[in-house]
Amino acid sequence: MTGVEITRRPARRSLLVSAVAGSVATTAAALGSSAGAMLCLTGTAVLVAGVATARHGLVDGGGLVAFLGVAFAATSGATAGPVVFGTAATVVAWDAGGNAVSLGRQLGSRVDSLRVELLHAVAGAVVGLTTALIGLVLFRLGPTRQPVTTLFVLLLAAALLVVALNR
Amino acid sequence: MIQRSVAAVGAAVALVGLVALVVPSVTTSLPTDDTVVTILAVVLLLGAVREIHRRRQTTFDYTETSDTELTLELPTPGDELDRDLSRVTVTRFNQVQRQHIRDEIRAVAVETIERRERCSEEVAESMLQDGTWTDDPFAASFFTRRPPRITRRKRLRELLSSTPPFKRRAVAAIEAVHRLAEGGDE
Amino acid sequence: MSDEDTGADASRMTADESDVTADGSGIAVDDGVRDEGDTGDSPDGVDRAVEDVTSADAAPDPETAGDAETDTVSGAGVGEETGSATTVREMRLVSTNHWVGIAVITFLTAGLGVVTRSRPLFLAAVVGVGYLAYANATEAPDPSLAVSRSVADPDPEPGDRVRMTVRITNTGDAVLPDLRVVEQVPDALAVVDGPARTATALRPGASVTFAYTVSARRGRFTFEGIEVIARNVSGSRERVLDLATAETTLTCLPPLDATDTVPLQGLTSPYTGRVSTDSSGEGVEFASLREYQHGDAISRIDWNRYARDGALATMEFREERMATVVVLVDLRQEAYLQSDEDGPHVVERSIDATRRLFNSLIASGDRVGLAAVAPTDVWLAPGAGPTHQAEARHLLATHPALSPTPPSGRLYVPGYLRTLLSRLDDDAQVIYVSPVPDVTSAYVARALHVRDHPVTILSPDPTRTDTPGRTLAATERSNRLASLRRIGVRVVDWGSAERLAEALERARRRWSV
Repeated sequence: MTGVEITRRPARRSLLVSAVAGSVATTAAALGSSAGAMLCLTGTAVLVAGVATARHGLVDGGGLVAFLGVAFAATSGATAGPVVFGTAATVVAWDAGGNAVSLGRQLGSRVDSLRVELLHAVAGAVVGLTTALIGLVLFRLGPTRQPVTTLFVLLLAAALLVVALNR
Repeated sequence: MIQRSVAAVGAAVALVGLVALVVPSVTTSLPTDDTVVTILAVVLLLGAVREIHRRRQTTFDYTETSDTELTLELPTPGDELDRDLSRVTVTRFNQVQRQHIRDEIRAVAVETIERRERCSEEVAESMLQDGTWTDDPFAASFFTRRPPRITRRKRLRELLSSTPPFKRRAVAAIEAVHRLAEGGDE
Repeated sequence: MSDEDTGADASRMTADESDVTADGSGIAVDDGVRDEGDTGDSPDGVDRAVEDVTSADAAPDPETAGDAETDTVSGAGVGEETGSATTVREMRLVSTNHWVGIAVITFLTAGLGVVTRSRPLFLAAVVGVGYLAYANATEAPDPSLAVSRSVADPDPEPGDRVRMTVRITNTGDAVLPDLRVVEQVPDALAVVDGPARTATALRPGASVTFAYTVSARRGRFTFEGIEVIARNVSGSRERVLDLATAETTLTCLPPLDATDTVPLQGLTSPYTGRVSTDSSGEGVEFASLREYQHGDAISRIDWNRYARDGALATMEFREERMATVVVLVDLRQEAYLQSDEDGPHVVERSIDATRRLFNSLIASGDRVGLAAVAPTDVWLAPGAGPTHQAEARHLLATHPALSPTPPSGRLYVPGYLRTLLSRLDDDAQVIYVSPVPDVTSAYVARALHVRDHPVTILSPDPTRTDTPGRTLAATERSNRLASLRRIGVRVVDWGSAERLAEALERARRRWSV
């Protein structure tokens, strides 16, 4: 008669969203290099384990490793499409994973949170897709070989924007 | 304020860069060479490291929710002694704990003996010392601190059982005291 | 550059609206009952359906009046519906730090991209910047909600499983993309099925319903609050609200034992007061005549006799003195114990016994007062009559010290005793309702008894004998009661499975031996 205590972990279903996004990233990485894909897969596995055990540290670490997998694939010659979409996919996986952990901690595993999680993940995916498309457009827009100065200027711009937007 | 101006500058620079993607001539006049660019890249990577560090440092501040489904759990008298008894192990460093438990049980035993035997405290204490207050050898040995008067076979069983002897004797003592207390009328 | 900016803006806008239009299936709207923690079958057979109610019967809320609330009242309501208005008791805005560190994507892509001369990687930095903007773009919404609760059975028996259904409606005009709800269940009630929580996304005007089951216990329980956490769509900020809702009460009285009074023979009669005395004084019943003495009240002269014999005689009446009794309840933290998880705990039993003793004593004509050994002051001076009884009823029902949850303060007992003794009439007897869990409670009884306030103890038994520690505690208490009996205090040891009337009867038989 003391009541049913909630298990402060995400429900099993919540693992799906992150797993799916992580798989997309892995596939993108695979198009560039198998080593990169392996790295990405490992990262995804760690991330999903982090969601299952409600540990933010594992989710973060897994997400970073998955992204590094995509980056590695990029350096091994993957084309622009997979790289930008793969990057976006790792962020979606990490974002959804962190959200699932917070839901698990606040509401427990028996609450049906799938709708909320999907909404959140889809919103994040839309952001990623849009920016990825913009990146691709930029990529196609210019000639194949950019002078270093342009890169330099873009780098500077990126740095400044990040500093400005980072809160 | 600073953020806004930095953002504005960054946006302006980005615009120049994007234009330069299409029209390379815009930026050819800028002083750059590989080393400068590499330095900037290193700075960016350091920025990445700093970000990772920052993430690891931040605690998650989102709200914690209460355990509303649970209800008030009130204790039942004696719960503490049960906890202490379950913690008693065979190491010798627990002498203080064991003495504490023994004193607790002794206090109740003395009271009970006084009440039922209608005697004084001294007499009750001496009965505990001699072990004459009860028929149960384990209970008696708890206070006499001497081995219980039992057959060798039982002694062997006691030694081999998984319950530490102290605990077994303490429980026996408690039961014996309880039997004594319930045994008579006021 | 401007492309990039507008691109980020565009993505932000679509992000805010995507919750509604992302796909045609309408993610945002939730209808119908969400059975959280679905165990496959509902414990009470039929899942008592929630009736969809309009907000019209709720407290007037001008915003909702115009809302297109498409649900309508259907069929007969099964339980009680309560009004929907909510007020905010407390609000906090928190940064969740969910997106802290996202800049690492930009830094790494740009840095590694340059170092490895990989243009695709370099351009992926745009993704990082986009997310950075998304993370910091919006603020957590300020929800405007209507909450209505319904109880399947507002008058259950103890041990019954009662289904509670909560319906939350978004009465504002902002979309709530991430709403997390935690019900505030009264402390003394346990939820036995389904978490009392839900997560949802609500368009303006939409609502979500969730249900959970509570196990009923003796007493009155009020559901009056709910906690809501509203996040923005990116999850970077959250607003936590402690809302006060309309009250829903669950009242549970035990089936057969709901008598208001108890048999009192033997409880107070051996003591002065109830026994008829022959001393002179104002009274009720005619007893005898005596010779007139100078100074007797004229109203007492028997004029009939004077008319007959010419002799003056004064009537004397048998004096029925009323007893003065104070019922003293032990409400210290140490008295909050339970012997039995399924039933009422010791203080609930004590308070119930106090109420019934009070009613019985008043009904039999005694002057009765109330007091409690508690950190907050509880005192009702002895009195009689219906007004007094009403005062006592009010005190017993509403005084904060008489609560099923333990107090947080401590009490300095000797000081308390001094105050109590100064308030007690010289001839007051005390009925002390206490589990006698420690030396202090025995000390209180002894202190009162030796100062000529005869004490009768009614002690709900908090002990069990299922483990060694508890057995020892039971023996200790038994010794304590015995030593109190030895000094003349009467003790009723009220077992946890026993009805109060039985315990009193058992004690009476003992005393009359």
